[in-house]
Amino acid sequence: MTILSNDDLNRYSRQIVLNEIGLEGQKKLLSAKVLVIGAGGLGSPALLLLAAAGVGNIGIVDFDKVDISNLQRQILYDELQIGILKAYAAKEKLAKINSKINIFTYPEKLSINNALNILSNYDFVIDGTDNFPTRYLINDICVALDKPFVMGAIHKFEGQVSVFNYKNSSGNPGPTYRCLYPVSPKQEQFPNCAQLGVLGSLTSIIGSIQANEVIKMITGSGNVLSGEMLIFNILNNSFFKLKIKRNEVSVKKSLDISNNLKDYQPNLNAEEIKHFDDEKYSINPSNLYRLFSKEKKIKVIDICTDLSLKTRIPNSIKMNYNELIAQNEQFFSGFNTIICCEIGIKSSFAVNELLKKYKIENLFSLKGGLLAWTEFIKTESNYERE
Amino acid sequence: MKVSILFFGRLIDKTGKDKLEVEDFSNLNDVLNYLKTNFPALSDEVFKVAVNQNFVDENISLNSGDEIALMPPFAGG
Repeated sequence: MTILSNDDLNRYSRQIVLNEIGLEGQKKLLSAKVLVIGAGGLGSPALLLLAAAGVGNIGIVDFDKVDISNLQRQILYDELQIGILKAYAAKEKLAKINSKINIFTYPEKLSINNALNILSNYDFVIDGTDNFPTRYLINDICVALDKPFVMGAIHKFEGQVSVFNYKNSSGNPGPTYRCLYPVSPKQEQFPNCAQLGVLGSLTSIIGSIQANEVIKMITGSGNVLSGEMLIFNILNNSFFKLKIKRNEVSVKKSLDISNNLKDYQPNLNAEEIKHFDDEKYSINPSNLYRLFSKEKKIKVIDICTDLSLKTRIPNSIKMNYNELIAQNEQFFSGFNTIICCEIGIKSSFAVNELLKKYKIENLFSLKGGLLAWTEFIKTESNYERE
Repeated sequence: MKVSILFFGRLIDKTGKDKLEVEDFSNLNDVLNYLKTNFPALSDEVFKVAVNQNFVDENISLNSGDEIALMPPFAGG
């Protein structure tokens, strides 16, 4: 249980006094985990506001360095930080505003190889990216991991904001980004901010709305911008809200990650995804169950980071994705090695990654992950009882 | 019978307009075909259509005073 010190009470007093936030809301903020992907025009104000409001755990993903042309709108940075990786520069600045919160940095490009690992540590995601491949990756991974994300994007003097993949208090899921735009548009058709131009006042408004939606979701206050997209035009101050319907076909498409890889990395070559979701290197729960009953030499590696998943495979070895990839070839010899994760995607990547390094026999990813295993065990024990 | 059409994002650049009024169209598909004929640049564009602030996927009949919004995805951040 989070206990607020006198300093905390004083620091957050102006928002604790609001009925919609209160002491309970402040405690929720302090224990919340929010990931901001893209620490640029949208991410800057969002990060500043989240840190100031006392969001206790903030992750920052950005592979870029601070450039003098960023300073006109990326209000998190200053002249002395030019040339520094944005993730580190952002942390440095945020720690000065609020030294009590935890800030985690990922100075890398979000890709299919690291996305599950990074996103699985957070409850809410802010999409402050400037490109479609990353946005579709965020969308699909958020659908797979059942997490809401707040999309923000701008074009000249207009901005869009919406919360996707959000479950309301009665558990009804809202639309995903693919329910609106099912297929990723070609990025090269879309000029970037450098070519089109952009004002810091617009990115700051949109990024602030994104942070506001996250604060509302954490504290359970107000109406979340789910199932509708807000469009704001700063030239004529017009606000539009357009209603979006959830489309189950598009949701299913989001989960078909192995067939969506081109959306995330349009230049991906076949070699890189050779073993992804390969039948030869995957095993379904019932076959694994049968293997347990007749085969002794089984090593199950559990790389699941979602602690809410209670059912784990007995005698499995727990390690994280990076620890697994760093194992030497001998670790895998003489055993049937089964890798399992939440839903079978991270484990597929691990298998793919390991097969690129080593010639390993009998390496499998558990299809459908621990979620599928949990379901299987339920039906299996019903069967045995009968 | 008049309906208004609102353009957003790139579509403003492509059509040179942010708003347009058209007359005598009874359904959405006819309006979209009219737009594609008069603004050929729209044929290559990705956008979603909303009628009276609801995104729609299918052809629907229109009433006088309806507002049609053409919304492309935005990419900047």
